[in-house]
Amino acid sequence: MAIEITSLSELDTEKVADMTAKLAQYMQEKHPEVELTRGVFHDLVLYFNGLLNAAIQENIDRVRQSQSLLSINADPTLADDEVVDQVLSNYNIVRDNGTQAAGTVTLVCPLPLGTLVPAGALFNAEGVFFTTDTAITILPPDSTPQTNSEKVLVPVGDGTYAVNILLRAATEGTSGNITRGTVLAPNFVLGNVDTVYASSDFIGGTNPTENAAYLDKLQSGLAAKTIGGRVSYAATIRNNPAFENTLHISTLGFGDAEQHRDQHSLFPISGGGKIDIYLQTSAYAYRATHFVDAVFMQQTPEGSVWQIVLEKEIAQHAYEVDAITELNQQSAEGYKIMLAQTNIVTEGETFQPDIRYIYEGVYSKYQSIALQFIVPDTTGNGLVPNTTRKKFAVSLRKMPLVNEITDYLTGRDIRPRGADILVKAAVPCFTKISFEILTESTAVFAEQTIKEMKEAVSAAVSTVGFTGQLHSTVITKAITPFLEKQQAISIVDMFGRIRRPVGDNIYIRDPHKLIIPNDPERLVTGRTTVFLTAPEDVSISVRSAGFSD
Amino acid sequence: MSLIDYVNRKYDYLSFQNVRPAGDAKLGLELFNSKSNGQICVGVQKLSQRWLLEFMTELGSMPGLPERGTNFVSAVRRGLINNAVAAASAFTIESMLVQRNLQNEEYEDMPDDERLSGAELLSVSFLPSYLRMGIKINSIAGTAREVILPISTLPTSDV
Repeated sequence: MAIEITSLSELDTEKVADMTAKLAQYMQEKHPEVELTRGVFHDLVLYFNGLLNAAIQENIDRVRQSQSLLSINADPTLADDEVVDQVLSNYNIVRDNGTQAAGTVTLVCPLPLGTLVPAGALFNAEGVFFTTDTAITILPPDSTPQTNSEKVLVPVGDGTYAVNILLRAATEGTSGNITRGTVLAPNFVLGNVDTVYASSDFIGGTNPTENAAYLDKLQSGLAAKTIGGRVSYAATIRNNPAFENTLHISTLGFGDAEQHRDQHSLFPISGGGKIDIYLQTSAYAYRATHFVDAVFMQQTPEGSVWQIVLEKEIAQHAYEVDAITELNQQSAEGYKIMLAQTNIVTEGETFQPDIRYIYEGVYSKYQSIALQFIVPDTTGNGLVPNTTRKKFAVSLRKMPLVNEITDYLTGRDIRPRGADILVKAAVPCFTKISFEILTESTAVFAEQTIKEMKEAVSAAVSTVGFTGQLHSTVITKAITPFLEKQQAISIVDMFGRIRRPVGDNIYIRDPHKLIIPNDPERLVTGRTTVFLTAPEDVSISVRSAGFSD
Repeated sequence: MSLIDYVNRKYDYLSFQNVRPAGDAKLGLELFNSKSNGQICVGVQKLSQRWLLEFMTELGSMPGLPERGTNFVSAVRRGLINNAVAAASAFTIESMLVQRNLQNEEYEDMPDDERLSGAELLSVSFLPSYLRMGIKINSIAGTAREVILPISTLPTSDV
C-alpha cells in the first residue's frame, strides 16, 4: 500500500530517538548488565529495533491520520488516496478520477466520396490525442444513413464537402478542452480528407480530484439525497456521476427576490412551490457550431435578409449567437444580425414548468431563438422570398449539461411532487482580464508559459461562483506561481459584460473588484450571475519594468 | 586492574576477534568465528570499541541519528586526505566530534576506565590504497588502548 514508508530515511529523528530510548529502558529493566551506549549491542540490536519500531509506528500514525476525517481535513496532502477513498465511501462519495473532453470536429473532404474513420483512430491537436469511440462511415452527399455510425457529407459551397464527427480525448484532463478552430492531424492515412478542425469548443475534460478538493464534496456527501434545502439540491445533482463536476449551483425559491415565478397569481405575492436552479457547469461558455437551414426573406439595399429559427434542440441553454457564417468560412467575423428573438417552448415536454414571461425561461432548455441577418450580397440573383433555402454555420455560446440536468431533476422519480423546477444556465458575466507582467528587460516568457497563465486565470475565475464579486487578488494569486524574482503584475483590468435575461447587455469595469449589480427585477444578482472567463479572454503582455541595475 | 574490578560491569559484545593483551595482532571485524562463539568486553576495551565505531561511522549514515559519526571516512573516500598533514588535521577535528558524542551518552555511574578522556594520533602512513593510522584512546582512569586503523583510500564515485 502506498501509505507505507518506503525508506527509513523518511523517519522523523525525534521518533527514532523516542523509540530507541523506550527500548533502552525496557532493555535496562530486563538486562541491566548490557551496555547500551554506542557499541555493538547499541548498533545492531537497540538501534535497528528502534528504527524498525519507529517505522511501524509511523505507518500506524499514517493509517490513523488517513482514517480520521479530522486529520484529513486538517492536512489532506498527508492522507493516502486509497485510505481516503475508503473513508469517504462511507459517505457515498466516489473519487472523481477526471473526465475526458469531448466535442465535434469537422472533416473537410475535397471529393464527394465516402471514407471510413476506424474505431480508435487517433487525432493529434498540439500534443493532445483524441479518438473515435466507434468506427464512422462517411457517406457521399445525398446518401441516406442507416445507422448512427454513418454520416453524410454536406456540400460546403466552395467545391469541398464537410462532415462533423464526435471525438473524445484519449486521456482525462483539462488539456483536452481545445478551442473551436483548433486543427487536428490524424496519425493515420485518412483518405479524401484535407483538413480536420474542431467545430466546437471541446468541453468536459477535468483533472483527477486532489484530496483537498475531494473533501470539499463532503458536505454534499453527508447531505441527504433528497430534495429539500439548497445543499440537498446540490447533493442530488452531484450525486449523479454525469454531473459530479458541476462547478456551482444556486438554488432560489420561496422568499428569494430573484424568484418571480411563484408570483403568477392574482395577487403579486409569493405562493411558493417554484424552484429556479442556476448552474455553472463549466469554467466558461463553450462555442458550438450548427449547420442550419436559413430562408431568404427579402432583398434590401444593404444585402439579402435571411431568417433562421433555432429550435430548442439547438438553442437550448445558449447564451447568445456568436456568429453566423458560410459553412466554409467559420473563422470569419460573421454576418450582421438584425434581430434575435427568444421564445419559450414547453410543449411536448414531460414536465412543463410554469413560465409566464420569456425572461424567466431564458438560458433554459426550453428556449428557441429566431434570427434575422443580412448577407452583404446586393444582387439577390435567383433568390425567392420565403422559398430559397441555404445552409449557414451558426455558432452559439452555451453552458453545457443544463439540458441533461433539467431532465434529471424534473424526472418523475426525482422531482418532489410539490415543486415546479426550472433549471437555467447561470446569467453570464463575460469577463475579460488584462494585465501586464513587469520584468527585467532581458527576461523572455515562453509562449507555453503565457498559455498556462491564461488557463490558470480562467480556472481561478471559475472558482468564484455565485458570490457576486470578483477580486483582482484572485487573478494575482493565480499568476504568482509563474513569477520569478524581479517580476511583478501591473494593475489588473477587469471588464465584464453581463447579458441579462431580458436580452440586453450591461457593462462593469474595475481594476480591483467587479461587483454584480443587485437587480433582482431583471434576474441579475450575485445569486444568479457568474463570471465566465475563457483562456482567450485573458490578455497578458510582458513589459520591461525599468529596474535599476 | 584485576579481574575482580570488572565484576558487575555493563558489557558489550566484542566486535573484533583475536584481541590480545599485549603486542600487535591482526583483528577480525566479526562477532564470532570458527574458533570463538563470541566474546564480551568491558573497561578500556569497550571504550576503544565505542570510539572506533563512532569514528568510522559516516556522519548522516544512520537514519534517525543524524549527529552520530564523523566526516573522516567520507573525506578519505573522496580523496581529500592524501598526506600526513591533512590526515592529522582531519583527525583533530573529527576526534572532537567523537569526544562530544561519546561524552554525551556517558552516564553518572559509568566506570572511569570506560569514560573517554581523549584520543591521540600516534602515526600516519600511506600505503598503496590504504591509510594506516596508529591511534591511542585514553580513558579518564588513565588506562589506554592503542589501535592501528587501516582505511581504504580508493576514492569512490559517491561524492
